[in-house]
Amino acid sequence: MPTTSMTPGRKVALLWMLLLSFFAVFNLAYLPIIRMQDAASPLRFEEHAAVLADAGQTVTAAAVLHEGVAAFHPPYAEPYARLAEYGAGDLAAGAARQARFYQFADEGLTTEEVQALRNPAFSGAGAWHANFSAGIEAAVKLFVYQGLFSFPMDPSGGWPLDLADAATVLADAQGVVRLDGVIGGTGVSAPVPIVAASGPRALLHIGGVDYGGTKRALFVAIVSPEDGQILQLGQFDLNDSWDESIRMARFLQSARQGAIGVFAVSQEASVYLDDTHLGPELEYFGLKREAIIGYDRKFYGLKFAFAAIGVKAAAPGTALQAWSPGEFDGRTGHPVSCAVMPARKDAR
Amino acid sequence: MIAEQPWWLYLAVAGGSWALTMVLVPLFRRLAVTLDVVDRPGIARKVHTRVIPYLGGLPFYIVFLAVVLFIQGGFPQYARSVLYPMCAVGTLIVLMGVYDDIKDMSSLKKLIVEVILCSFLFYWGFKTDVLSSPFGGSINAGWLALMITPLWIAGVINAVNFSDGLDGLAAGLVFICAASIFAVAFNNGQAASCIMMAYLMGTTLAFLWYNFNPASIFMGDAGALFLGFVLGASTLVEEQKGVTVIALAVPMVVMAVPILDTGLSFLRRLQRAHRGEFFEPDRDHLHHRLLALGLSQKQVVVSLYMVSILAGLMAFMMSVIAEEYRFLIIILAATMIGCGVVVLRFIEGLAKRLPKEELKS
Repeated sequence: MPTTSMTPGRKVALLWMLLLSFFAVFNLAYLPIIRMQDAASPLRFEEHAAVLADAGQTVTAAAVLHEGVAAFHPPYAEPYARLAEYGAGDLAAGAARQARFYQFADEGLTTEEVQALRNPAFSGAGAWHANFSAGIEAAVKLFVYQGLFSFPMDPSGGWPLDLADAATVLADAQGVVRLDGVIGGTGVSAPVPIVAASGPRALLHIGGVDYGGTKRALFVAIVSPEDGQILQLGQFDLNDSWDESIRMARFLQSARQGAIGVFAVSQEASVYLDDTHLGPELEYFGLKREAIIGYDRKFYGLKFAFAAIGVKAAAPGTALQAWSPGEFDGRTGHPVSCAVMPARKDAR
Repeated sequence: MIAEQPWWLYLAVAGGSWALTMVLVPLFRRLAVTLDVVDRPGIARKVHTRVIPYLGGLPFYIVFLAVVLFIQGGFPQYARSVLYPMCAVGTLIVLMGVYDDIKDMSSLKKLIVEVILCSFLFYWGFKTDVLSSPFGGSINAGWLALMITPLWIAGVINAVNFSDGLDGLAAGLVFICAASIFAVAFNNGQAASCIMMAYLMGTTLAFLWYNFNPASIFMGDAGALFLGFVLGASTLVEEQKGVTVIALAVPMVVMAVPILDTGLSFLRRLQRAHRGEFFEPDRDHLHHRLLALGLSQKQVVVSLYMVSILAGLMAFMMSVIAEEYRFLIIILAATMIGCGVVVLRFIEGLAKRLPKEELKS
């Protein structure tokens, strides 16, 4: 066996140089790939849109921003403000309202400044509530009382918003409200008022009764589409174990076709959300994977605020669905709500 | 289930790792001989009787870099942001291993460096905030998360390193552990874990071609430390909605043999700590004790493979049965380990009392 006269120290140095040269070559190939992928990441939609706008391609910039806000629901004003600037028509008007909503959410905004935003919904909410979460809460409460008593509240009774204004608040807070009683694109009408709100607590208000709670879980109610009776109730702590995900999948499987499913997350429900088993069951209720996580669309909203009202056997994407990310770009999300009010108000 | 997973990618990673390792090991054997980086028999705890080249573990590192590049470049949807930190820390681990192979490094210094290096991983994204409890449910680790990452990975590194005492033992045990974790990860649809395990399976299987008794090359500390590092860190790469969840129980059961050996070694070292020999290596590891009973190297290695396969099967069962019954598997594993230790001690006692010929008959 040949030997070498090199000292051990030199042998170590030689081998270290050899290994480090492998690592250097690796870096030379790896880092450009990462930079390229990073630049093309959907997460960078704001930068991408800014570049397009600078090049005068405002229509494309608006499309990129529209796609980005739909995929990430960023809980801050800038992307919505830019979308309002580059977009047109209803898209721009909606984005402007959302931008004002998130400006309202920023700390340090005085009531006068809020009122100066000249949005009746926000100026009203701002006068009554110190922060936007309370504004959402007020809007949700209004819907709940609507559900309870099935007639419009007297504005002089203390509520700062009328129903339409409350709907605007919820819509701007990534929520979805239908005042015609129809559950999204499912074609099914809700027999009773249904409000699903999610945040630090879950609210499942169905026909005037709350089936939600403060415990960490995804609360689910299965409701009869004929008379609004509660058929099944369940709570699933998807932060706890895979078994909860499987249990929930079985629960949803056992619901009858055409039944209305009402969903609201309290605190968190994503760690053990099994996309393979539970994902298709949620889709079967008309829910849709909206958020882009990495390279896939997922039910990301379940990580923090997620509320939905769907119908079993409806096509994916037809349900009412609202979500806000737990955190996006260092900014925390907020509570969200879905509500559907029957068209007739004499159902008391 | 199979249709939903990129099984072809797992096959490509395993096959590519195997082929590349097969090519690289002879090259590094030649380099080790040229540089005279070899393991010479003579020290009491060494089992081999011939001069055998080291550096067989360096191909593991090079193949790992190639796999990360392949995944990140070609299939970024399966890549994880923690892969680069793994490459960076893995490089330092290999450098330390090379130093140890040539100049010898005390166990204390090695342990300190391992813990410091693995602590970096915590800050580079290996957050272990939520632990999956072996008894069902999950535990929020809180501030303990900072300690869990380095201790877990350093523990696995040492477990693999301690088992590297017989031809083919460490590589074989890592192969079996990787295959078991692969089965569990495949069942859970965890692509990143599957890719890491496919790499480990491919590279260790190829290395066994050269390292199984009689070995023509050793992986050395560089290889053992790196394999342990990849195995330990890979159990933390899987993110679920941004939260790293360590299923503590499954890898612990899978790695029962090396972890048990490490645990027993730790207890022995504690016993002699008062003599200031805590960090001194000994010849009392499981494989040494089985050799002392008269088993051949191959018999010892195959026996430990069998135990490891059994542990792997139990770990897989644990991942598929309902949560409320998982503790039964843990009790079963603990009972088997306890029985194994008692039986080993009984046979050792018997061997001391009886003449060798009588024991053999």
